[in-house]
Amino acid sequence: MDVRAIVLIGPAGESNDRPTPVTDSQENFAGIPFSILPVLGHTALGRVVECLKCAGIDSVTVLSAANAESPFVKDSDHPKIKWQNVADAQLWRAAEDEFDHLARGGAELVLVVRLGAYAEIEIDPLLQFHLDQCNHITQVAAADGPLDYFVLSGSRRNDAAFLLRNKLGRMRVQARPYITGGYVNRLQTAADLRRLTLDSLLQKTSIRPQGEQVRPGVWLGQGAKIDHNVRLVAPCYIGPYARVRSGSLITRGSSLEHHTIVDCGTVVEASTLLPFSYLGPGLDLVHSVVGSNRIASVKHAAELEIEDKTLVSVVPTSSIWRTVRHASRLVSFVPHQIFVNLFGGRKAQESRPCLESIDSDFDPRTVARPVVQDRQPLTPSVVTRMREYGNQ
Amino acid sequence: METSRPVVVKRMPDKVNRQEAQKFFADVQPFVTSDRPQLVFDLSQVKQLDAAGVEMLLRCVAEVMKRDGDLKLASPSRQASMVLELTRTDRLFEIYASSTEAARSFSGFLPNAMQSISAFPRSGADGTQMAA
Repeated sequence: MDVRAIVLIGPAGESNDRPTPVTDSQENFAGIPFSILPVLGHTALGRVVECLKCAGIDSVTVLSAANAESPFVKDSDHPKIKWQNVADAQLWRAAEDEFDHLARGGAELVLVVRLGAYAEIEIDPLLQFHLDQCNHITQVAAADGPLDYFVLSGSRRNDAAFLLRNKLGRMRVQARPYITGGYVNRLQTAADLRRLTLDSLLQKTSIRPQGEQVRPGVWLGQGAKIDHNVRLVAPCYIGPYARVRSGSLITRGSSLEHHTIVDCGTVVEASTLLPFSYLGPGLDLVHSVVGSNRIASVKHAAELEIEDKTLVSVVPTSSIWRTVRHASRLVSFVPHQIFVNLFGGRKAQESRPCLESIDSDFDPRTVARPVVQDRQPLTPSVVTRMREYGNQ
Repeated sequence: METSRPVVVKRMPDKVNRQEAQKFFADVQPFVTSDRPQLVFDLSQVKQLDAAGVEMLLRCVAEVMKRDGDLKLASPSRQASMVLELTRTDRLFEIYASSTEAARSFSGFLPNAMQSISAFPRSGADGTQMAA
């Protein structure tokens, strides 16, 4: 049987059947759809295409409304799939045209999938169900509602056109849906992305971390560099060419995707660093997703743009630029230190408080020189408490 | 991932104050200072854990890390879990439901055996937990 597939990457249409209303701010992080963001080295799109290929569907067309210049889009463009970038408004029209093209090319069944949700669906039982029910269109549904996952008969062009013109929201003829019992993640918010990462680390999905399991529950990608005195607490994933600098702690299901940098003494707990992200020194990142100069907090359900490059920044995607940047930092390090030593002292002198302007009761020396004997020694418990109150 | 090195399981006393912590550390010191130690501390009996006890755990994990080993915690009591969570030291350790599973985890990853001490927040409400 000739079965082909169309995978759509773009915003969902409006439908009363959907479990939650989908708005423009959902299903993406910093304008990049979750389906093309890597989770433990694999994207949801990559996994879906892989499943389709495993089921013997060789003809897969991806219609993407995501920003074509994004490095994530470029990474996702696989040679074995037909990739087409389309404008947001033209997505459904392009899907209709592609369906016509496939049907004319002899496709008997066409799978139309919008990502969207990440769902692990067995293709063969789905196709069998469609044939057994003699449906024009079969929609896949999970326990919590329908999915944008359809099987269309190639000969039913009018039904397909109606479905695609209604952005997968309505069918011309209602049919019994196929209920899947597989893993489903709606991938609507950063919390869903974190949940998918955690579920994959805990082996609840078929996504396996890309890399070698160096210790039980700790995966390292090729070329990942871990400095000394770094604590990796399982389960965690360090992607290819990621760098974790000295004194850092990566714990509780954290995932550092490829080419990320975690600077000295930073704690990454239950968080995801998207590719080409830099996380500054001495930070405490908890329950968050970081990437493209943005932090999405799962705990607070908020997304924030960070302008301070010392906290969060972006690593150049080009290896040449990365090398140039490292070299320039190395060259400028010694002059910078000389400058700091020469002018740092004078700056401290200039910032000394003016004694005349302060009340006579106030003794600035007590502030400038804290009593040494009253200081608590730096025991591990004191350090722990210091970390708790802001990584001083 | 098979390992031939022994895994030492040590049960912590019910009261871990400064005095008990020192005594406990003296007991485990030979294991902690061995080559690539693999230790499991069973916290099921712990009824009272103070800062000195936490400090002792941190000292142990620091020593173990220096020697390229690992220290895991098993079946922490409610009181121990609360103190570890309060001092945010729980994230420094892999915590398992039982000492057997903690010992087995040195030779293979056991996602279902991990202690569900960290609730996964979702839109302000607690969702699924880290492990069943």
